[in-house]
Amino acid sequence: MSIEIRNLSRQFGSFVALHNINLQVNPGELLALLGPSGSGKTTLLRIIAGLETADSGQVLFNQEDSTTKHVRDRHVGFVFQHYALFRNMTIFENVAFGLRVRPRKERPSAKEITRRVTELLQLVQLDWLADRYPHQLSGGQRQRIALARALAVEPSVLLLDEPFGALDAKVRKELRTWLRKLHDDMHMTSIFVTHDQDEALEVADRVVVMNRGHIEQVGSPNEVYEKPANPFVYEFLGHVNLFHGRVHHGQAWISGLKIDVPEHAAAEDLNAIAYVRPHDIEVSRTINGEPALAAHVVHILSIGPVVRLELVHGDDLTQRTIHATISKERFRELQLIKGEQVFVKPRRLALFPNHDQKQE
Amino acid sequence: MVDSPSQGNRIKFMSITQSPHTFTAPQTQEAPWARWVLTGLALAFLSLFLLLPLAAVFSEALKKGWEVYLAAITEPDALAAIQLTLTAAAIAIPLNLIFGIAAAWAIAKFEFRGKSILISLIDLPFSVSPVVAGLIYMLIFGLQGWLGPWLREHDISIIFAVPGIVLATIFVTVPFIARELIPLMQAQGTEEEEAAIILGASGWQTLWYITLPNIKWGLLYGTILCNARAMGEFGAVSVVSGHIRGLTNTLSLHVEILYNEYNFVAAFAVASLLALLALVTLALKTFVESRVAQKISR
Repeated sequence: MSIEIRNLSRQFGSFVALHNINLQVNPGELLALLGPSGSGKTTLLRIIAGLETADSGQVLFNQEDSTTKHVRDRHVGFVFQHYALFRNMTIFENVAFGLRVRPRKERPSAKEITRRVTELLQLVQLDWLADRYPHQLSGGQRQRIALARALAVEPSVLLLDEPFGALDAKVRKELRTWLRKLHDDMHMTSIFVTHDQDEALEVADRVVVMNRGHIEQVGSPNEVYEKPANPFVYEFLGHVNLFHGRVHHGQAWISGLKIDVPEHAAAEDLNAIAYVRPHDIEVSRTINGEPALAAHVVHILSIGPVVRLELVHGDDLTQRTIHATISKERFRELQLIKGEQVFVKPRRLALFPNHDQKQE
Repeated sequence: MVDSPSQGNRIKFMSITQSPHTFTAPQTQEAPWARWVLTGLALAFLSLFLLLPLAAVFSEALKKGWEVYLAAITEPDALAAIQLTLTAAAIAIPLNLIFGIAAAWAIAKFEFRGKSILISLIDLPFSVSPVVAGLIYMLIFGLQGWLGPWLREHDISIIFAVPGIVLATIFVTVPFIARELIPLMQAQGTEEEEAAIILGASGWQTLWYITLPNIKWGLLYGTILCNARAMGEFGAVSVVSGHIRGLTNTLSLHVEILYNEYNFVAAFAVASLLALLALVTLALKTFVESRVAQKISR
């Protein structure tokens, strides 16, 4: 099923939760709504589900306007951050609930319900917990039951609101791999909300980056990570080093380095900010004839597959920290120790001129 | 929870709704004498003001033996008073159940204008003296009241009749169930209901299968307190009743009348019924609280 959002806006008092949102969700894809808290991602999800109403705009399911359709008639599966399992029912009854509340004519027989619920509990690998109550389960188990319960009514869309937000790091990782596999098996249009960029980039087919009620960028995980559309997306996705400088006629001066930026050939003496990812910082012991910044090594973290360096550039007054990530091999080659001087230069940078404000 | 008999040997429940909690005392070490003195003081106070009056009620009631006691509580006027008290409670409690659930549901699960006004209104019977509540009904439904002439024309009697007593009882017991449920429902949030509706449940199914089971102990607790207050109410009922023996006398009013007639044994005998009710309520309340505590500690 495809979902289309048209010119959707929603305001809570004076707080603009969503401002003129347009979004197309393709059939069968796993889409992530990624953004900081207050960015409107959960509100958008709840409007799609029908739990919240929009002030203006439309929600279309399979090109059919469903804006005014009741939640009950939208046939969505919804998974809550805090599971929302029915505490007074066993796990079996929780999963069976959606089938049992159907009108008598559409309700499957008791035998059929038992078969379906058992099948779903097997799918989430928790059939041995059927007689327990929610409070007897761990967080990860509860969330898998919540998913089974949502799937029991055979929804055409699956909506997940921060599904792993309340879980600890290890269970989180396991569950998101598992969710990806489950989605690949079922190919149901799914949207999940998260504030964790790793989660979004790792699990989703496409990522929608949201901020303050706007969509900042929509793209594949690779696109949004490698080609961020604006400073917000750059800063929100992964660690970055931020440099201030100026750009003029295709050349940028960043912390005293002159760098060619042909894509900004039209810029006329503008303030600019430049982002460099830690792994795009080249570290060497000698200057090699090319312009580079002198810096001191203040911290070395060599746990894991890469070595993270914390470098300080500049004198006492203007000093700033630069984070660099280099491979283990490169680190052995350089044989760095704390306090040594190195030279760094950006291998790749993203420059955003500030058009609003000219250099004084 | 039983205060000293006052105003015609009335035994009344204090409207304290404590949230049940489990207590793990830190190992603070007071001097032994301090502990003994404090415990002794508390016990002496309780004995003097609670246990002694309670014992007095029963001993006075049985002073002239079982036969007199039984006669006092089975004479027609006493039976009529018992019947009226039960009738008033039987009408007030279901109405307050419906209103309490509806109000708590609205307040805890929805956002709307005037919510704080509704909460204040629910608390009104707690803050207004029951006698004033009775007088308000006099002012509205009494012969000289706003609706008096109209009611007389249509031959409807509310004041000095059963409807007035029921109205007064409802008024003073309005807060009990709603007040018990609101914090409980607020703490539980709306996610389970949302989940149920997304799964296709109707509003009634959601109420019946999700909301009510989640609040059943709080509901029972509120109902017990509501019942105790309904049966023990004196002030408001006294104003609107008119004290017509065998017709508009509730148990509490009947006690007062007997006492004023120096019929002490009968007065205490009827009072002992109210005291028994108090003890049963206390036992039920303790049981429900322990169940709620178990639920919470899980």
